[in-house]
Parts: sequence; structure tokens; C-alpha cells
Amino acid sequence: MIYSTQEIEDYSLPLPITQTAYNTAQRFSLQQPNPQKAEQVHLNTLAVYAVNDYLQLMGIPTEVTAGDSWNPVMRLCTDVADLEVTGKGRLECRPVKISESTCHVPLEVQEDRIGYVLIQIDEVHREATILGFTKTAVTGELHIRQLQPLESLLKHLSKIGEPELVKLPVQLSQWLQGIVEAGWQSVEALLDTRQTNLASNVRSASGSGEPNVRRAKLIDLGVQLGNQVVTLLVAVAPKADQKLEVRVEVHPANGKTHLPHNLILVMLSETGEKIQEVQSRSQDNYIQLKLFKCLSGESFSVQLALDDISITENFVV
Amino acid sequence: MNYPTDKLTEQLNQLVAKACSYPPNSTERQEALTQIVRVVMKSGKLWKENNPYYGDALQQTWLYFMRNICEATTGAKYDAEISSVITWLNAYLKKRLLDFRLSSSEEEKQRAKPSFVKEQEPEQEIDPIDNLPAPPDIPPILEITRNWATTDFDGELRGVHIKGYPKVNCQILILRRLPPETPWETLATEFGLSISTLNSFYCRQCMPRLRKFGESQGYL
Repeated sequence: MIYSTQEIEDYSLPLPITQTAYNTAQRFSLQQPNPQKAEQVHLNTLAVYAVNDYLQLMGIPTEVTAGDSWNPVMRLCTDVADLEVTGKGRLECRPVKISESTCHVPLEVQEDRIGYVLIQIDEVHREATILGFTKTAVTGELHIRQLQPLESLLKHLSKIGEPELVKLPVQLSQWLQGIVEAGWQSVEALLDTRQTNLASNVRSASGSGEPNVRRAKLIDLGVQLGNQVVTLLVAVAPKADQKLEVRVEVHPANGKTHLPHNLILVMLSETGEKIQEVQSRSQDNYIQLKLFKCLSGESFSVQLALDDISITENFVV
Repeated sequence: MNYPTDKLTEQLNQLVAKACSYPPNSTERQEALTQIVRVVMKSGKLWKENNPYYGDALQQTWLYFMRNICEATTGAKYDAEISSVITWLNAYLKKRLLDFRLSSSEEEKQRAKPSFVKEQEPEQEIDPIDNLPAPPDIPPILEITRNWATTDFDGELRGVHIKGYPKVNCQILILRRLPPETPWETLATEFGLSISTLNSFYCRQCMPRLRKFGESQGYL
């Protein structure tokens, strides 16, 4: 959501600048070799303190001295205002001067941050106003209109490190009885004829004519700049001794002919051990795992990964 | 922004009730508490005073508020029947300000006492300037860092360079980025490399070495 400048003012949070913050800012800026650098360090330190004081009020633990902004050499060599939030990562706290509506984000702090907080420093009234928060700063310059209110920062911090929701495994043996989980559609519904022909058929070796079941699901690997959606296809066929033969394939979705390059398909055991892995090359129409058999009651996971995004589907036979 | 007091009291009571309806440390409670700080700070109803420690006293007041608004942690729990939120905050703030005034006048008294004058040396005159704290020594951190990078005693900084560009190594980039920093644009033109290549090399190879060196210097 994008807010207007007026709304940002409504959502902003003024906090007092403490003498402790001033003294530290003074100490750090006195170490700098020129007035420009001294002013930068002074403002950066006050900005870090403002966010630190706010998080302290919220009961969110921080380690203010653990960041680069407390390292004398890093402070000198880089324009840094980072704050370590315990167990979460580093927030960059960028100062904004009164009457300015943008702030420069130095190249060296554009990686390895869990978010950016902008703080307006008003030394005359000894007030630091937290303007808002944003998760990313790719352009190198942040406009205060891009900011979200502090409440979004609280939500963001609470989500970091939270275990993913435990998804119930897909019950493959029930597929044979026609009970299929939501999201798993017929292959024909998701793949066109050409792809359907490519997609392998799992044949029942028993020849008893028992039904083979193939189902497909759209998997969104939500990479920035256009979604990367692929189709995960799972086919099962009953075998002797209550075993189930399973085939796993990944096909392009939305009418695309090729899979994204470097898409990784992994099969994991019940204990998370990697059993097999396959990676797409630049022009692959589809990729597949080697056919495998499972005993009734066994479970496994299939993981799809592209760049930093990884999605896991759990199955039980 | 000045609210009518009744409206403000009512709004704050609602926010307090909302905050306390959620468990401690929950995001929902944090959101409501943030809203309370926002409303109070912008209401213009907080006690103001010209005191260098006003900010510290106010931060302590907010901490006290957070710890006792829903559950009694460090003091008595807030009771809306006894006082409004603003009255409660102002009472605590004034107490803290008084503490700071007392302790700073105590310090001044200590400083004014010439207790350190040894009677054996009556001829020594006390220059009041001597009693002021000396300005902190400015550690020549720039010189220390420049010497470290220039000396590069084990050749590590010279040895790590951008692939195919032996001249664009950690030593040269660290030295050129010391204040007054050479802009990335200038360095990119000079070396015939993109800003992102230079920057990513600086972040991955130079910064960890600077960080480690900084840690070895202690936190000044």
C-alpha cells in the first residue's frame, strides 16, 4: 500500500532524543576526519537510537552495539546505520533531514537487511520522528511515500524466523479412491495437449487395470518481477505388496514452453534427507524425478526451488 | 494537533483496553501500544520542560507505561478510575525529571568541592579550567585504518582482487573509499567496471575484512 505524504505524517511516531543518544552520537562523530562525515555519523547514530528506543518500548530485544554502526572502522569507511534485532537480522535506520522527503540508501547497505526505517531528526526540538518502514530499497533512494506505517514493521518482525505453517501432507493412497485435496486438478485442466503427451503415463505393472491417478497443481515460486508459476504433476499407480509407484514431474505453466532456468526439484525422505535432485537447464520442457516406490504409510516431501524461493509439498502414501 | 481533553481521554482508554485485550508481546498489543504513543506524543498534552535530560526522562516514562499499563511489572498497574493516561504519564515524567535535576545538581556540588587539593601543596593554584572534563581524545581512526591497509603486512588485501583485474584489489578499494570517499561512479569509470561489480566486490570481500579489523580495534 502506498501512502500520501499527509498520511505518512499521521502514521509517523515522534520520540524524544535522549541525552544518551546525543552523547554517543557526539563521541562517534568526534572520531571522524571531516565535518561532512561527522554530520553523517551524528545523524546515523541518532537514527539508530530512535529505532532502538522504539523497539525497547515494544519489548523487542536488540543488540545496538553488535552492528557496523558501532564498529569504529565500518563507521568510518561506510555510511551505515544498522541495528541488530535479536534473532531477526539487521534493520537499516536512515535519517531524513527536516523538509526533505527522500533519503539516499548507500550501495553498501542495500544487501543483507531485513528492512529500512526512515527517521526524521529534528535537533531543535530534540525529537526523532519515525516516518515508516519498507522491506526493500533496491533503487538506492527511498521516498517517504514508499513507506508503510510502523505497524507493518511489527508484523514483519514477528514473521521472521517463525516456523512455516505445518501443511497437512497430501494423502496419495486416497487419490486412488477418488479423494483428492483442493488445489490438485486433473492434468488436462492445467496442461495443454502437447504437454499432456509429454507427461509420462504411469503404467500399472500388475496389468489388473487398476486406475492410475495423475493430478497436477500450480506452484507459484513468487519471484519478484513477474510470477514464476510452474505445474507440479504427481502420478501414482498401485503395485504389488501394497506399494505405490510414484512419478513426479514439473512442467511449465500458463502456456509457456520452457521451465525457468535452474529450477531445482528435490525429493526428501521423511527425515528431511535428500534422496534425489534434478535441476532444469536453459531450455527444458519439463523435468522429472526418477520413478520410485513407497510402502503404505511412508511419507516423503517434494521441494521446488528457484533462486531464494523454495516451496515444499508433503506427501504420505 | 490539540484534541479536546475528554475526547483524548476516551480515545486513549479505548486503546488501552484494546492493547490489554491481547497477550503481552503479541503483535496486536504492540500495534495498539504504538498507536497510544503516537496519539499521546501528538496531542501536545505531555508535560514539557527545558531540561537536557527531558528525552531520557520521557523514554523512561514510556518504558514504565509499557511495563505497567496492562499488568503490574515494575510498579502499580494503571487504573483508569484513578487517573487518565495523560495524568498518569505526566506524574511519572515529573518525578523522573526531578530525579535528573537532583542528580545533576549533586554532580555540580561534587565538582565545586575542592576536595582533591592536597594541603601539602598550598602554593599550587587551581585553575577552574582544569576541573572541566578534558575533550575526549580524537582517536586517529582514519590514520590507523589507512596504515593498516597500506602496510597490508601479510599481503592479504593486495591478494584479493576482482577476477581478471589484479589491480582492482581490496587494498586499493579500501584506500580509495576512505573519507573523503571517491564516488563509486568515478571508480567505475577509472577501472572500466560497472558500479554493481565494484560494489558487490567491496561488500563481499572488503567489508568483512574492515569489520574484522574494526573489531580488533575495540569499540571506541
